[in-house]
Amino acid sequence: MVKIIFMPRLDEEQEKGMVVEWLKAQGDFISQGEEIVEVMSEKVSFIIESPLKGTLHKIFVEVAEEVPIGTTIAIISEVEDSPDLLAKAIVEAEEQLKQLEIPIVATKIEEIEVTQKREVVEVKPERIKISPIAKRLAKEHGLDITKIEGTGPGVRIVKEDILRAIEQRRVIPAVPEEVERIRLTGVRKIIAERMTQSYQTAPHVTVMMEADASNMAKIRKEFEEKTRARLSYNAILIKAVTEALQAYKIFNSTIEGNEIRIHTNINVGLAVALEDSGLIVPVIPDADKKLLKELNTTIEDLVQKARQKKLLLSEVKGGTFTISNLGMYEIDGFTPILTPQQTAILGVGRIAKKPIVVDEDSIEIKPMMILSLSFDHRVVDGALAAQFLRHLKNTLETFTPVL
Amino acid sequence: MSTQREINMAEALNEAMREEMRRDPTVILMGEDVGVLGGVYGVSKGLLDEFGPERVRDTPISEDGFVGAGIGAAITGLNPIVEIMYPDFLPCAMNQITNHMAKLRYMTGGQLTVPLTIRSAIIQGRGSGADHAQTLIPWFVQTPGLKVVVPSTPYDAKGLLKTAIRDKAPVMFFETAKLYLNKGPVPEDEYLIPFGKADIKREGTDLTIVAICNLVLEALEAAKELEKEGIKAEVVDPRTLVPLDKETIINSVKKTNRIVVVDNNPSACGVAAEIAAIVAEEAFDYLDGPIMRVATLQIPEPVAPPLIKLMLPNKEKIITAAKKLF
Repeated sequence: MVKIIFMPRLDEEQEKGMVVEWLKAQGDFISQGEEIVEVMSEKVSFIIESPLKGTLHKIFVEVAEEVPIGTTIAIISEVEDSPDLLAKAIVEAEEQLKQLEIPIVATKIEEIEVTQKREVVEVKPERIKISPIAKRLAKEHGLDITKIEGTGPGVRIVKEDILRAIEQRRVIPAVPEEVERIRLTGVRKIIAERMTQSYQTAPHVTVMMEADASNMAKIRKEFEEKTRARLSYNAILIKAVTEALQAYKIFNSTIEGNEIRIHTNINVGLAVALEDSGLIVPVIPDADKKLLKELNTTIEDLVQKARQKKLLLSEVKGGTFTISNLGMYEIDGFTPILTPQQTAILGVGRIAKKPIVVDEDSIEIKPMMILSLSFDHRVVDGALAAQFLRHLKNTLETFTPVL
Repeated sequence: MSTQREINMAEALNEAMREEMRRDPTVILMGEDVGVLGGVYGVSKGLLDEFGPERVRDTPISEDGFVGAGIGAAITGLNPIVEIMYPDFLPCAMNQITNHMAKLRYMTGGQLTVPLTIRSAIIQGRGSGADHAQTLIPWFVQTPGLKVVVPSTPYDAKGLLKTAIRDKAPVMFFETAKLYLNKGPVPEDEYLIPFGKADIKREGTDLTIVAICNLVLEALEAAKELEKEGIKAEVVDPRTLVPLDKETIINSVKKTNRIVVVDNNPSACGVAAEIAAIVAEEAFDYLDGPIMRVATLQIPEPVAPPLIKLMLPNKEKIITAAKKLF
C-alpha cells in the first residue's frame, strides 16, 4: 500500500511545520515503527515513525523547509505497490507543493519585505519605468525604486526623482540604516504573536513586593545536606506558588468571554531562555501534588530538554500559571507579560544582600528578593493581588516544605 | 587681429580657397561654372582672375569625368578642389568617389594618396524638386576612406575648408546654399580648424541638441524658445562627421542626461541614427529619457512649400521632441 506521510499538526495554533532532519534517506528500507523524520512546529519537535514496513520511496520536503500541515512530505511504498499508483501519488504530492502559496524555501528576505507596488499604466504591473541614469543612481545610493514615484513622461522615474529621494533621505536622518534583517520564524514568531495578543487583550497590572530569602537558603541547605543533590530555587518558588494558588484560586484561572474558569489542576509553567534568544515555557503539571524533590528533578529534566529543543508537545501544554525568573541575570524587578489564557505571572528577581530595618529600628543585612506579580485586571484587582503576593511572601519566608 | 570682422559664408569659403591657392601652387579648382561665372553662388568669384584658367577650370556637365580628372590630378601631385554643384549630382560620380577616391590610398598601401576635396552645396527645401534636394551625406559617412565635413557658420566653413585642402585624405565638404549669405565673425588672420572637433554652439544643462549644417541654426532657435520655458539646451555642432567627435557629444549627454539629434537626412541609417546609437552604447547610464531623433521624412522631397515644411526638420519639430523628454 502506498503510504503518504503528512506534515503533522503538533500544536493547536500550528499552521506550518518544518522538517528538522531526515533520519532515513530516500530509497532506504524501513521497518514498521522505525523513526523516519523529525519535524518541528513553532514550539515543539516530533519524530514520525513509519506506519508500515516498506521503502522510503520519495522525499518531497527537504531539511529546513517549512510547509503547511497536511502537506505530503514523503511517500512510503511496499514491495507489491503498483508503479501506476506510486506515480499517481507522486504527481499529486508535487501538484500540492506547487500550489502552495507560501514559499517552501525558508529564509528569503525579499518575500517578507513589504513592497509597495507602484501604480503605473502598464500591462505588466511589476515592470517599473525608470530611465537608465535614474536606475544607476538609485543603485548607487541603495534606493528601492518600488518606493519612488516617477514624475517623468509616462510616469517614468527620472533622475530628478532619484535626486529628490536622496535629498529627502538626507533631510530625515531619523530613519536608521538597516544593518541586518532577521526573519521572524519559529519560536521568535510565536513569542511575538502571543506576547502581542496577550498585551493587547489582557489589561495588565504589576505589583511588587520584597521577600526575605533567608528561609529559601535554609531550605536549600537542608535539602542539599540530606540528599546530596543541588536544589533549584525555582523548585522552592513553585512549591510556595502552589500554596498561594490554593489559597487564592482565582489566580489559577482563564478568562473566556464572560466567564472566568478556575482550574482544578495547578500546572506551573517555568520560562526558560534558549541559547539562540528564544524562550520556551515547559509546564510542570500538578505541581501542587509534587514533593520538593520531585519538583526539582522535573525542573532539571524539563530545562535540559528545553535547551536541547527536545520538549514534547505534552510538556509545554496546559499551563495555568507561569513563573519567570530573571534572578540569574541580576534583575531586581520587572513587569512580566501574561502568558495567554492565564490570569497571573510571577516575575522573580535576584537575591541580593541588603540592609533591612528590623525590630526596634535596628538594621540587619538580609538576602532580599523582589517578587513581581503581573495580573489580568479583568479577573482580579490590586488589593487581591497584594494579598496573594503577601501570602506568597509569607510562605517563602516561613514555610518548611516536605523535602 | 580683428575678430570683429563679419563676412558671409560664401565670402569665407572664397577666402579659404584664395588663401590656400596663394599658399600652395598645387591647389587647383575644377567644376561647373566655377570659373567665368565664379560659381552659381559666387563662392569662387575672382579666383579665375587671380589664378588663371590653368588652376581654375570650368568643366563640362560631366561629373563622372571631372571627378575622375580630379582623382588623377590628386594622385599625380596636385591638391585639387572639385565642385559638384549640388549633392544630387554626386551619384553621377559615385564609382569614382567610392571605388577610387575613397579606396586608392588603402588599396595601394599608401603608395598613392588622393588629396582631393569635393565641395557641394545642399539646396534642400528650396522647392527645386526631389532630385535637387538631397544631401546624401550618409552615403559618404558610410564609405570608409572619406572624410565628411558639414559646417554651419562662416568661421567654421573657412577654417575647415583650409584644413580639407591641406588634408592628404579625400574630403567631402558639404556646404549649405541657404547659409551662404549668413554673416558671422571671421578673423582676418589665418586660422585652421582641426577635423574631429565638435563645437558647442550654446551651453546648457538640461538637454543636448546635436545638429549639423543649417539645422544648427534651427537648434539654436529652438534652444532660445526652450529657455523661455526653463529648459536650458546645449547645442553641439559636430562640424565633421568623419572623424566624429564622440567625446564632446558624450560629455554633453553626461551633463544634461537628455539628447535630441537633428539630421537633414532620412532617419533610417542616417547621421542621427548613428549618433543615437553611439550615445546608447556609450552613455546609456547617463540617459534620463529616450534618445530623440528629428530627421527628414522617408520620402522624396516634395515641391509644395507646405509639404516641404512637413518633411524637413525645423525649430518647431526640435521643440516638440525636446518637450517629450520633460
